[in-house]
Amino acid sequence: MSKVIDSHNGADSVGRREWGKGVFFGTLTVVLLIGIAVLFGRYWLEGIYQRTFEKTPMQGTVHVFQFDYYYEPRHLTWRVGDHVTLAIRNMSSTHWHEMVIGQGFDTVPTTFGPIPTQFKRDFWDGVPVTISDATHIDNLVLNHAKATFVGPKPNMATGGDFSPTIQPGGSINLTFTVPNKPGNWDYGCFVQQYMHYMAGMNGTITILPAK
Amino acid sequence: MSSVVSDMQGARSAHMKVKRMLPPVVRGLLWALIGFLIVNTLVSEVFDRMPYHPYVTRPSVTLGWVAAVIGWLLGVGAWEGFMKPYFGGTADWVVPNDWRKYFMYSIDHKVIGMQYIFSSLGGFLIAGFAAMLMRLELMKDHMWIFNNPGAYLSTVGIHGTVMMFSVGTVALIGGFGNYIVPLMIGANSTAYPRMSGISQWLVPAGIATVVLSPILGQWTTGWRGYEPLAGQDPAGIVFYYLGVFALTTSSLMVSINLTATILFKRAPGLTWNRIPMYAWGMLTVSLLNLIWLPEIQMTFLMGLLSAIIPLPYFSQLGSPLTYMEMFWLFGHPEVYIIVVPAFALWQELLPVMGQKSLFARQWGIIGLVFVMILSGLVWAHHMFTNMRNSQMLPFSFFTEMISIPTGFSFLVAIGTMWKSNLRLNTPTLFILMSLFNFLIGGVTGVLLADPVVNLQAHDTFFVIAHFHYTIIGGMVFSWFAAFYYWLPKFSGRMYNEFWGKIGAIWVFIGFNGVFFQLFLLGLKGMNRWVPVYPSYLQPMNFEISLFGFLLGLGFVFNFLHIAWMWHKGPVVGNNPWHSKTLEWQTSSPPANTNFDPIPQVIGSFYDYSDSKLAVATPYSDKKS
Repeated sequence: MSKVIDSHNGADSVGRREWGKGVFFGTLTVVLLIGIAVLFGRYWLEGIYQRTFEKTPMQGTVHVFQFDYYYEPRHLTWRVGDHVTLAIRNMSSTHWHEMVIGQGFDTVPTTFGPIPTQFKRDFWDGVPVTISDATHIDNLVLNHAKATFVGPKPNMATGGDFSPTIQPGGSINLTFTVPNKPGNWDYGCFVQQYMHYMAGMNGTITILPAK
Repeated sequence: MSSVVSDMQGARSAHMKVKRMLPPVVRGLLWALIGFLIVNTLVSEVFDRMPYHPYVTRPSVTLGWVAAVIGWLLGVGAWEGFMKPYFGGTADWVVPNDWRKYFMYSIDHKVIGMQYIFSSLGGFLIAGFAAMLMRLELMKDHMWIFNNPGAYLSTVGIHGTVMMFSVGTVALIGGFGNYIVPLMIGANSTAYPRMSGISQWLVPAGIATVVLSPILGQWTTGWRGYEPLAGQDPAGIVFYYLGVFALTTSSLMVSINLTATILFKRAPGLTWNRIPMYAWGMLTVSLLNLIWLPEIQMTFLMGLLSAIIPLPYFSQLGSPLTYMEMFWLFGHPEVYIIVVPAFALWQELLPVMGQKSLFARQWGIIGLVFVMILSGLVWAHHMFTNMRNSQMLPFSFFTEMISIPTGFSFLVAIGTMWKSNLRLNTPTLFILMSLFNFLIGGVTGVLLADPVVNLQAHDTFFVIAHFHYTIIGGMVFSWFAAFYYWLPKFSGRMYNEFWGKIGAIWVFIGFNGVFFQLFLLGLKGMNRWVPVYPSYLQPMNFEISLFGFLLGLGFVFNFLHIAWMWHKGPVVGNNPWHSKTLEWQTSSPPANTNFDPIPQVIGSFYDYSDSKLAVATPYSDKKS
């Protein structure tokens, strides 16, 4: 940084700092466009990015973090027959969240039209799954999953699809071999009458057929 | 003072040299980005590292934001213009005398005023766009623009926050106040020009923070950031608190500056009895700001700490209603912060337009001051639904009371117009519309101050209609009046009377079409803060939305007209309105030095009984 004489009687004797019009308007335009894109299209852009670039099947431990109201990551790729530990962790400090995996919706009629309550097809039907490291689980619904428990058993409940409902800060590990159910699956959180799901708390799983 | 310091090459230069630099705004953005990345990384990866946590956490984004705002302020020029001289260096910050001066740190109150005007105008357009989105959503009785309620509520919150904190409290105070007040009181600068220069650049930062809050997550509280509701919101509420903190800090700095300016920089002969009405308005508003803004900033800091640590200030472990009390303790004065400048504008413009002495001037000032005093005693009328009957009486009483000093402003305006030769031009038209609208807003305010009515109308569109009548009807219409009135001052050019009146009538029809129907809609049972509603309300909502788009277009039309005439309008003289106040006794637009020599005030600015000027040394273009 160069310093020049400070003059109180006009700017004539002082070094002029000049700056270009092009850089100014160009940068402002770019920043504005980025801002608009991020503000209105972040969710959409992230989804496209994850669907496009993250196609390698995941093996071993797969972390899924729950926030208000989104999952990180929002797209998972598995291959039939692979061994996967789904490590779900609720990062919210205020909200209970669940992670239900399935296809299609079961709805209930309301004044505001039909509201989905759960998935029509439960991914976990008949799937052997080992449940471990369960902490701060509000309740766990097994539905038709074949569960074995390692460590303390969380509070169990019945009704609806397989879903661990996790308290703020809680986590659970689900270890299983990806069953022969290739195709596209959705996962989402149906807490608070589907509001979490609507606000963006959903994601997709691509299950590739066995090699 | 002159000191020569060697630059990086070691060459000693005391002569003219041209130095290319990044545009200050670009440099500010760059420094903000660097500051954010450094501090955010330090907090989330080093000091507050937790397993599995994402790169941006609530504490890290808060501290990173602070660093970003500091970087932004230094980057736009506070580094050379403020920090270096503060530590004994030389101020090598030269502001070129072209359009560039509006996009860099400046210490000229006229440039700062313009920057404020454009910042708040930007906020107005952004928040207005949010309002259009809301009206679009409400055209149907189910979700169709937004796909979930939280997105709609975030939009409502952004609309309200940006409108209140960057337009309502800024446009007439930071903008016109900074530009006009020193000219009005015969000063060549404000009291704290360097601080004033910094405070301006907090406004775009604050607006951007609030507008970008959905990136962190939704927030559902509206512009008040209510706890404990906010405590259950996703992280977006953090950016709400931070953005509002920046905007209120800016307003606070403006208030300190204007208060000191009015107190200490008046021209000789400008006694307390002669202070112009708009300056009185600025003084009362600044005192309101000085009293209440620190209070709300503390409240927002508590809310922020509740959100990031988290502390249970307002949860069931703390005191859930406290936030509401603390918020409205500021929130009601806030609405008077917004309309008191409008009252002052009525009393400023009408004597000029009627060329008739201001009627009952001292009562007008008493009205302003008593509105200011009483505004701190009425906050709980926002909470009639959650208080005991015994508590309602005093707050209802004081709320009804505040209509009396407000009435003074009306009576002063009407008395001034009485038997005057009123020129019914665009500023006058806007002032008359403002009087009319504020009357409706005020009368419905008297209704809402009755607990009996309030318990029915609370949280309905009746309330929305009421406060839009006071704020748009009172303040925004006066804002336009000020724009048209002072346009010759800013640019030396005159607007087109025909198109000005068309614009005025246009927004008047659009405005009343929207908000008068909102009264009826509220009485029919339309709730606030709901994107879906019973289907019997849909036809009226549809119609209101159409008027809403008309209103939005009307605002845009007025701005385009003003912008066009700013550059292309017919050139007029220094004092086209034949006003006696000081700002017209110098050249239009003012030179770099407002007054040379400083004028001597010898009479009243509002006495039109004769044609004698109020200054002893009137300005003339013919320099001997």
